[in-house]
Amino acid sequence: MRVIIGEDEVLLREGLRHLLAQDGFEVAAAVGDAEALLEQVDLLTPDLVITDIRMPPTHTDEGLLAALRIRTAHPGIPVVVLSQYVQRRYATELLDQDGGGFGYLLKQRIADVTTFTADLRRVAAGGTALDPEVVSVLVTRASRASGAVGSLTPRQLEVLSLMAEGRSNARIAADLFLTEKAVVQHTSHIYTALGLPVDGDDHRRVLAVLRFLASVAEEYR
Amino acid sequence: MTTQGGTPASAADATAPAPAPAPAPAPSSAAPGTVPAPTPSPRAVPAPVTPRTGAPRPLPAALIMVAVFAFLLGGVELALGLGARSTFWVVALFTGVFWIWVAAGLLAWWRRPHNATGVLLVIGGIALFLAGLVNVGVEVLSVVSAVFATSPLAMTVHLLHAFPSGRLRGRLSIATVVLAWISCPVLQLAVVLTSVLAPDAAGVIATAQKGIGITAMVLTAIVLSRRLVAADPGHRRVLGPLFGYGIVAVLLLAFAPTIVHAFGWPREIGGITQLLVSAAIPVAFLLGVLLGGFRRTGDLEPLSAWLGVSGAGGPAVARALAATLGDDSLEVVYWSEEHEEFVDGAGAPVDPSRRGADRGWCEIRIDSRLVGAIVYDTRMTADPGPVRRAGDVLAIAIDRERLTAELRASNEALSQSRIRLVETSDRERSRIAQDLHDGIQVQLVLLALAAQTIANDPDARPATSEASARLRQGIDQAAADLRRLVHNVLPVALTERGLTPAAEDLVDRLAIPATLEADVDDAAISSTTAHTAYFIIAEALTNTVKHSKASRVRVAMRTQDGRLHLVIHDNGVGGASLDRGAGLRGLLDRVDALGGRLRLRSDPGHGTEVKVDLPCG
Repeated sequence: MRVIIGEDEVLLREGLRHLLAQDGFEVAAAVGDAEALLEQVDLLTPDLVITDIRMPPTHTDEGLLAALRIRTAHPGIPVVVLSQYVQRRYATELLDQDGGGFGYLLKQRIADVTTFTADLRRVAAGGTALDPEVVSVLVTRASRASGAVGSLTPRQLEVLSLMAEGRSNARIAADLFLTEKAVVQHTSHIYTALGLPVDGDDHRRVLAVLRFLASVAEEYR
Repeated sequence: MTTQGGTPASAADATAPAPAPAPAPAPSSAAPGTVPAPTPSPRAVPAPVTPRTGAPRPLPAALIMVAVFAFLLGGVELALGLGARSTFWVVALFTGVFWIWVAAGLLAWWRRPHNATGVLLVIGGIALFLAGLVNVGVEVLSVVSAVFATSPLAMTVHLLHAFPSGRLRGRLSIATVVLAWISCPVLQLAVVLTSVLAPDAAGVIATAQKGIGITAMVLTAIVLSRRLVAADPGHRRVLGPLFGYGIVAVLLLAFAPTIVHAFGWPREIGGITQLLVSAAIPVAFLLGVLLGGFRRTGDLEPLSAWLGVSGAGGPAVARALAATLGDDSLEVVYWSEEHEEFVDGAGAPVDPSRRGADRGWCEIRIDSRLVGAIVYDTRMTADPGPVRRAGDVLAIAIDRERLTAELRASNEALSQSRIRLVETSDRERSRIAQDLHDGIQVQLVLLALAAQTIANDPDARPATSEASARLRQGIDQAAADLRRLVHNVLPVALTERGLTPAAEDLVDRLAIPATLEADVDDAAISSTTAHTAYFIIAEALTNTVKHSKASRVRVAMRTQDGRLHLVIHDNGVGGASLDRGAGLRGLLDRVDALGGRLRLRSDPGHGTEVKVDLPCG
């Protein structure tokens, strides 16, 4: 799997490159600013892009803007955005675009290598990876705004949160010490409660849940 | 000053330095309505553009006395004239002309107390009166009258030369007037005396007198014509009627007897013509008055009172002074100690040596310190006395203005410095956040990554793997704490996207339900204002969560007319105060420095509302 890294901190960039190489990724390019990132993506058409949000020259949100541009210009190229701090608005902006294949994670998540590389592979396969901090904000707001979300049990909310993070049923079962069957029961109840159509595709199902949560959270006034 | 209620003698003495600026009590202060009240009338208090000037006021008592006296004199003359029936109409004519002169003189006197023209006109009237006494048929009076017979001519010349300032200007002018006075009362006296003692010499003297008189008249016509030609349009409008008529008048006065003699008409016709021409002189003068040359000049007392009560700005001070001295062309210039030069109200340098002819220069000093100068029209105001006294009054106002300007400048410097302090503190926060972000946070990621690599190493002993995994989790926890710390120092969202996303993030993470309504153009808000607004929202929300027991809190922000308005309102127990806790109190200084306002309303049981408005820029 060919990956391009956009990260201005040299140490972290090299750390990432090493980590990914160790795990079987092929790092096609590693650059230090958003402009070079866009050039390399156009040039190399990688299978995955990993980018920091803050990069030169303004050190604000050019990494996110680059990610949005890549997803518009190359809808087939998945992008994972890394940040020192995560917030709902940026997640919503990524969600507002068509299709899955995106991730938005705290940089600190890199350290949990197994989970991180699993997230990368899922995103590369068209899935999503949303940081637990953002999911927590989304779910809390949505439960205040929507009666449907508010009526879920704490256990169902836990399942909902893990789903929103992009976890598979097997992973949710493992994390919550449940059987996969129990997880499936919870998820089908959640779909019914939220009035979402049942979809055979896991990734599309997760995306539908995320969009629902984000729109409800946005409406909370 | 003193002229207003004074006697004619004291009025003529108006040029003498008075103990200014303290207004001397007028002798006739008991007369109702003659002395302005120490404070201006209510009409004048609410920041008038000019102090009371042209407002109709009763004639000062002294002028009324002069008027009554002149009326009685005229009455006496008429009464005596009744005895000489054959010439009564001549007596009546003289009396009428006398009254016209005195009336015009009093009007001028009243309109402009510091100008000698009014006095000269009254004296001219009296001279006419004396000249006319010859007709009443009383022997003693006839002799006196003979001496003064031609004085009205000299007075007319004098008046024409002195108009409008009341003072003679130019050597030719002075010489002409001296000639006129020599010709009329002096040589007239000689003629009267010699006609009794040495009739032969009388003829010679009379011829000389006539020659000198005619010379003076012709010179006067020349001087007036030249002045009229040299005058600017504004002055020509004022001077025109009187000078135009004056030129005709002096020529008629000089040549009327000659013309009458040449045509062989009765001598009386020459005299009557002279009298009628002379009677019209004050009328022409009156026209000059009504056309604006003699606008009523204000007294210094209302000026000083007005300067004391109203916030008189620079141009207003100059206008007030112009109105007081009756000179629209008057300017006030200020001494700039910094540049060591005079500057006008707009700050442009003024060179005193290039102020032009006819421009008077009166410097204003406070305790020998130069503060400014008054530039005035010497044709309008010949006597520097009133200007100097007005300058003394004005000095206080100018000095106050200077102090106000200094205070304003230092105030401005102070608020600039406060804003700089706020900006410096923001930059420091920004730098600290950036350093933590780029330095320690990255290192913690790498350390955790290293720990996790050991934990994942298949060669590592299980105990080592477990310990390394725990170490990684510990580092992650430390990183999370650091993230919160950095966020509290300066939230990333604020620098990345501005106030609205940052406030949104605050509201998102609040432990109690919170909503945000934002109608704000983030790009239009300066970073200092955005930071301040953010810290206020953060502090208010923290207080709400900690103290208010509220179940909901609402944040609203909008920009309008260059101001950012914030409202943070909870439904808690209320009773909050700015005096308790340093949080909002500390931010109050920030708000103040930026020129904003922060209000806290927190009645017990009615929740707490923090309202802030800040300038966007």
